[in-house]
Amino acid sequence: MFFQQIAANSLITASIYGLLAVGFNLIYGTIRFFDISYGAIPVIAAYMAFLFAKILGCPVWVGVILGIVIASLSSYLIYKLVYKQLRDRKASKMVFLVAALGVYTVSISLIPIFFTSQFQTLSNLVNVKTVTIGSAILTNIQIMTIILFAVISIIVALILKKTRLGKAVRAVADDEEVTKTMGVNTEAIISKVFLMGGAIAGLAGIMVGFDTGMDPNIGFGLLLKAVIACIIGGVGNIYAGVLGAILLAVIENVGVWYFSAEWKDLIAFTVLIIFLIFRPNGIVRK
Amino acid sequence: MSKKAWIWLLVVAVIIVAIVLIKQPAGNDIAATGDTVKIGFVGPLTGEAASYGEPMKQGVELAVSQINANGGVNGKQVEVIYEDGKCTGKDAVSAAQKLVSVDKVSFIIGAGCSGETIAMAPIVEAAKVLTLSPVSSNATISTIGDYIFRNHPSDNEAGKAIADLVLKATNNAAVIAEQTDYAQGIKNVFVDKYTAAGGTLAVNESFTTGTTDFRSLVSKVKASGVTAIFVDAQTEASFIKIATQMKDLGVTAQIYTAYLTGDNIKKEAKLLNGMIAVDLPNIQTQGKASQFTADFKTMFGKDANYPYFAAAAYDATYILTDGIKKDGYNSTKVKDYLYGIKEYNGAAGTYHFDENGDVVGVSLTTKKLESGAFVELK
Repeated sequence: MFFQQIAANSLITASIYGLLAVGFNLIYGTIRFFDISYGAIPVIAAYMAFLFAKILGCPVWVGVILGIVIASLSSYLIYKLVYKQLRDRKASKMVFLVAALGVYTVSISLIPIFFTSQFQTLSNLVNVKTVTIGSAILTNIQIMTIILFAVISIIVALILKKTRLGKAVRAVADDEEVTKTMGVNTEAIISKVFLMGGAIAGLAGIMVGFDTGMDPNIGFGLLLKAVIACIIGGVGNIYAGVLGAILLAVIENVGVWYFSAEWKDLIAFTVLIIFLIFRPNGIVRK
Repeated sequence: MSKKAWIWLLVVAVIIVAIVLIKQPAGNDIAATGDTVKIGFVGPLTGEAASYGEPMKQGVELAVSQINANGGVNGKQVEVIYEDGKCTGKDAVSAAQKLVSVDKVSFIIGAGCSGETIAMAPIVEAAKVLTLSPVSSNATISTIGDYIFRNHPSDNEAGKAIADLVLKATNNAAVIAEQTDYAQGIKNVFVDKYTAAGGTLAVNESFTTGTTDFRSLVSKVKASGVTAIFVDAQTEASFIKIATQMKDLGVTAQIYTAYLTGDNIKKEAKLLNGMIAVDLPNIQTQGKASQFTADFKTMFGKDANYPYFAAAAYDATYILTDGIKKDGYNSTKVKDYLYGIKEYNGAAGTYHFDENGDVVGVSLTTKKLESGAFVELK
């Protein structure tokens, strides 16, 4: 009977990890470095939604949209102001990593100045109802999160497969230099990827804010899980990231059920290490 | 360097200068006035546990303003150096190290969270810095050092009180505890007492601080079918997250907890209605306590969130400065003064310290949340 509840719990967890994994994979696929600052984007979005919808009293949907838009722009600005500069200087991977860590730290430190570091929640902005499916209980927010995860994954997959932009993104991911010599404006493509990745992360952050609430530090933990999902799925591959997120979420929730809650992170990282050793390219090989 | 690089350098320089300018005044005052009585403060001023650090700090501020208005200590003004322990051992250690080696204080009020006090104990003990905590409750703090005192009762009492309450209701219960020194400490006392008296724990698990997704843990509690659960969280935030997810998943077990009765909890009255908490005594309305309550309201415009913490911190400031008045700025002598106090009549109650530096004379209460307010259960 509780199998269904655990399956539902896994699906909810997978949706959040999965959204971030899709966005992270998009960005990683084009610029090829571990963008830690991506963990700040969900937090920025959640707090912007909080600012507009709760503090300033705008309608909830306005807050959500502004949150996503600002998250998207933040992601773009981080690229333009920091990573673009480093790319122009042909900085090493290490420099990128340190810069990303710096951007993350600065962004996360700015939030408590305006919003304090207290735990906040968006859930009382909407009417949270519970729905029973089989023997599993979910809230309307959680069902929404799962639906959004499915829709966004499909949209991103379609964009990559069917559109000119998608073709260009895949080309940049394969070989940026060659793509550039073919006359594609790779800068514009990468900018769009950052805008898209930022919007997806923003959406994930806002859904977390609605579901369990947020404090300025939730982003890093979420990003780590998304990255684990990417690695066990297959880095740089959108479908593989989705698969990885589902697998990770199931392992975590089943682990809590059969072992103990304090081992949740331990289980996640053990799985990561096993994959890194035995299947470093993830489940889905190229 | 290119023009862009220069601009960036300038931006960085401006930020550094701005930070230095913002930070400087406090630091300068300390350096410039060598003739103040310096007392250190460590507590959670930011983060989820800030709701404990804030009343602590306010209690100290109130006491200091009164002491200084009445001529200070032996003709010198009292100056408190506030450091943020962030409810983590790591930050409390840096805070204590700074207070001991840079500010050279011999007295500290704090820390707040038990994890802070336990982590900084070796430092203050080695430096013979007299430390008086108004908030730390972990049972092991009793014997952690000769220079470490507290006017908050040990969790030996709260853990036992919760075990007794739950036993009265059922002998099959659940406990979920945060992985912090405080929460694990009280959980251990609870589990010992509860199982020794014949109770069984269908679920006995812990979670790391910062966890947001408790669904599978809560599903486990639901599957166990218990009718009582001790939600042993370090902060209101974790507590509310767990209670929310319990409600979402349809868990109806009676919630028990310790101390969590602050404003954030009362704000969630609808969600948490009926929860039972073992708590500190209410701040009395006679004598020094009523004066404290009135003065607090005048200074801060509202009653203290967690009034006992504010009152105990207020008392701690007076106890230390009384000692300094009598014995000078000497932590060893003031320590003996503290051990020698017969009955201290303070805002938090009438109490003294035992041979471990633990408070004697403060008894706990049991409260139930009913339509937005905590009602004392007799």
